[in-house]
Amino acid sequence: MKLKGVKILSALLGLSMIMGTMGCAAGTSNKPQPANEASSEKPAPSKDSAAKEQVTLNFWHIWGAETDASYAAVKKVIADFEAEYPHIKIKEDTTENEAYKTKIKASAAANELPDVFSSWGGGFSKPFIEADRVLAIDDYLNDGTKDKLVGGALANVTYDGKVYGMTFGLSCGALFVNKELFEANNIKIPETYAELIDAVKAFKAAGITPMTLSGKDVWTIAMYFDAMALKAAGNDKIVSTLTKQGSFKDPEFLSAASKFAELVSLGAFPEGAAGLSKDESDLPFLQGKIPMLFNGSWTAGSVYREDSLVKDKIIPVGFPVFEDGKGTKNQFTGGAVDAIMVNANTKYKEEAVLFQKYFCENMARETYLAGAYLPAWKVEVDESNINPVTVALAKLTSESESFTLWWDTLLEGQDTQVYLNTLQELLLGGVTPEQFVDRLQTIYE
Amino acid sequence: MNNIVKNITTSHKSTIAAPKRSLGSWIMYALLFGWAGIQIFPIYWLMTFSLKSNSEIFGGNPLGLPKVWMWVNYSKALVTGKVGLYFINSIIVTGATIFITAIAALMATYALTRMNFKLRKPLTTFYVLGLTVPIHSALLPVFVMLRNLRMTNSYQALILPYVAFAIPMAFMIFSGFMASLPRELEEAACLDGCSIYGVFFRIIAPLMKPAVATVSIFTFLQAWNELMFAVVFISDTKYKTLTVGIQSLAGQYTIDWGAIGAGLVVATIPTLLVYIFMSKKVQDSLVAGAVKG
Amino acid sequence: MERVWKDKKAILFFLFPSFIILTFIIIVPIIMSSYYSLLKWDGFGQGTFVGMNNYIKLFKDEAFIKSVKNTLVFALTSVFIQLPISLLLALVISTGVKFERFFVTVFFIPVIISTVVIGQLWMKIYHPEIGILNMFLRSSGLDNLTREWLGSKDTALMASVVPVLWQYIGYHMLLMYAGIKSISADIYEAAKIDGASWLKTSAYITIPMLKPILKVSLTFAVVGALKVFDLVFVLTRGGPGRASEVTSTLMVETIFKSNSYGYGSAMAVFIIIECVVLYMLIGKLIKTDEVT
Repeated sequence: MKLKGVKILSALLGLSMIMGTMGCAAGTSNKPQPANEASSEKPAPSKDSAAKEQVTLNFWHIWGAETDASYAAVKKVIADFEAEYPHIKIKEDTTENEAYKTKIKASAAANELPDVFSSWGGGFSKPFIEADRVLAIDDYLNDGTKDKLVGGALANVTYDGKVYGMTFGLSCGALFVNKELFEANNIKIPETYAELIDAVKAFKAAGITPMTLSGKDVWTIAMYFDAMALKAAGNDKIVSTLTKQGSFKDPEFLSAASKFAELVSLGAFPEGAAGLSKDESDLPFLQGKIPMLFNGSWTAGSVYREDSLVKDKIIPVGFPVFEDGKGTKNQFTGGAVDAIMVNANTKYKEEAVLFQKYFCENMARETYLAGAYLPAWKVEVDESNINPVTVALAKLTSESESFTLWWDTLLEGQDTQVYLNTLQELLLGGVTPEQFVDRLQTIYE
Repeated sequence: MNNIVKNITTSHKSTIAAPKRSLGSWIMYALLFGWAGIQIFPIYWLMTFSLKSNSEIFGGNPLGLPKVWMWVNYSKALVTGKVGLYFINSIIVTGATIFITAIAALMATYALTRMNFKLRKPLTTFYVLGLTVPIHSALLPVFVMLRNLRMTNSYQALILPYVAFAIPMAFMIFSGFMASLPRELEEAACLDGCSIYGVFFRIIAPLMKPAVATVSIFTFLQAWNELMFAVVFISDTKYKTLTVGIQSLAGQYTIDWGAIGAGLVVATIPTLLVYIFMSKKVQDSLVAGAVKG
Repeated sequence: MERVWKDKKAILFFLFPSFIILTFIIIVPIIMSSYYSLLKWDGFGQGTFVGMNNYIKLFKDEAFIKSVKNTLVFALTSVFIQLPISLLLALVISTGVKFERFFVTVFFIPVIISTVVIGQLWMKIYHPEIGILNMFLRSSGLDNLTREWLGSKDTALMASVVPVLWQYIGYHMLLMYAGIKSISADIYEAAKIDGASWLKTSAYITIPMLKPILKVSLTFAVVGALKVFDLVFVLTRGGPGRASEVTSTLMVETIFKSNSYGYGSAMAVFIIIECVVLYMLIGKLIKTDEVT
């Protein structure tokens, strides 16, 4: 009796373990089927849809908090889609940004992804694509979709020449400056690195901390350094070096690191910044006490937050150019990174891709109107009601030559950690600029 | 009967207490109240936190009363955090977890500490092993397991892992308490013709009340506050729990800390009530012990 | 009686439910993690078998060794600072002070407050400019003692240890308090007749009687410290420059940020082994009558 029980148990155990390991092995690779239907199909609701099979698409994303500028946009676009295609129902599930990354990775590993999900281009999604979890959508793009996109909108979701995702909005790094503080202290808004140093020194002399970042939320340091490396080396060199066709030991990277270390040693950042969270370090900027913040274009939203004291005082400018650098003033960090992807194993490929395209095209407009992103699609909108900082950002980047993806997005997981950890050390003065580039070079190993 | 009990407890108190009205006892009470002040501070802080805006929390007024009372934080938490629905889910999941954990662990403890069989020692280690597993590394294996059992997106998807991670803790605590129970009681019951099941359910289980209350508190805390499993194993609003709802108030780039604080106040009140209720059971057990012992 | 205690059917009945749950949710994942730890695997595609390489790499990894040392700091301070405070509080409030219920309730409050909130609270205490700690030091004329508590490599570890220890003092106190409460009152009666003082009663009766519970508390404290994650993550993320990195924060970074699932699993297995070894050591150090 007892023995039998044990046997059954161990059999069960063995079985589920085999199933377990199988689940983690590579999934079946699916070739996308040509999509004549989806592209030629015009929405013809009510009558037609009765004949169509009712489809429910599971859609996971990260815009579930009302504080998010994109929140209302997502709600609207999904409602519009369901009205236009009554046979398709979208079942949303939202998760907080950081937790979502864990969730999506675990779900990709266990082959439990939903039909459609939001993700990030570059290094983040690369392992999913290599494991054949994501549908390549090239065959669905020849219906004029490509012409509606702005240049480079698909660059970060293209892997090995194939497009695996769709983007809707563009984010870019910018130096947000409090023009009132600059005027009050009679300081020129810097356009070159020398002017930046002058401004930092002048503010210090006036007893004002010039810039802010959070050493604990390490990506905020990377915001600065990504831009500085870009100004030193230029877009092409950054891309080739990060894709491991170059060397971090080239003088441009040392120059960027030295300049960053110079800013640190001049006291450009707040006391104890290494231990502050982004909420803490941003606050003095939003209270008008710190004149400069280099961060993503989403900062526009914070500037017009209810409790912000700097509304209408902030203008975005590019990072000051380096006199000895190769990056021009029209090269920016950032790009179209937030992406919508379709599960390679979804039952409803046509419907999922249809939704993916509809969602992105309309989100491009709605999130721009909401001041959350710059549009990655060509949109015509009335700009008078948009967040003025967002409009200024659109103007600033209208002549852009290139967007260089943030390193922590472009690089893959492990390399990203090497970069961020070493950068934190540079901020702390734990490594010299020389040691910094040496350690970066280890990602080539 | 009641009088005797009362006598025992009151006399017991007066004996063991440090001598009253002496300088020493004044110092002791001063220290106790001082410590109480420190320990009570977080709840005051949470309350004020929940009524402030970000700029007050991170700016000039991190510790004082709110300058502007942001009651709107509560409506944000209750409406957008769907705290109402998630609250019920949390109660279901936590309630079931406590119930199953207490029974399963108590039974196992009894077998492993009182009964004799060959595999007792290795099995004891087996039970303790659960205590050592880092929850983050278990995430993917447990997820795969639940998927293979077709159990994701259900209450069981959370209850089973919570029970599994609580049993080792409960087992440790129960065995600590069971060690101090005299065997004579069971032997007497056995002579009276009580079966082993009768001994367990009628004699041991009631005597373990303070331990069960303690385990319930700890299990409650674990299950009620757990976040990572709840995020990954549940993708259906129907089954989401309170912590996930509160977390969903955080945006991609901006976090409305006041609303999160409001959600946490709502989540903390039941915890406090459960604790007060259960710790009363622990305290009352002295009386029970006096009657039985 | 002996026959009853050897009843195989009863043993099976008592053990079955918990055994099944533990096997599926705890043991199988341990086996899977052990298997992953022998792979070079990003968590998604096909892994390559690398044998013990991940373990060899562990002991050459400075960050890992640092994290183990930091974790041991948590364990030691927990045993030698946190537990004695918990025990003292439990002894005092369980032996007939006034306002007993008030103290039992209030002393436990930090345990029930969400870690996120406790973290935010301590960030306010440690904030270099507006934090109360530095403000207090400045107002007492001790300017030279002010620090960037969480932002400096010298202080970040201890600045994370203090909140973690403090938050769980109430946890162990409750455990010990419940243990004391379940000691039969008759024993105290006897002590009363002998006219023993509180100190003597505690030292010669309560603490020895409490040994099984103290062992449980000690085990929880050590294992909890070896797996400490939440509050450290909120306070410092293991930084700056790995100054407060503990094994769990490093493991989470390795698995979820670096996508080094195999290597991270080796860390997980290390934590499990470390916990089991210390658990056994505690068993050897504190012998209780029952084999538990």
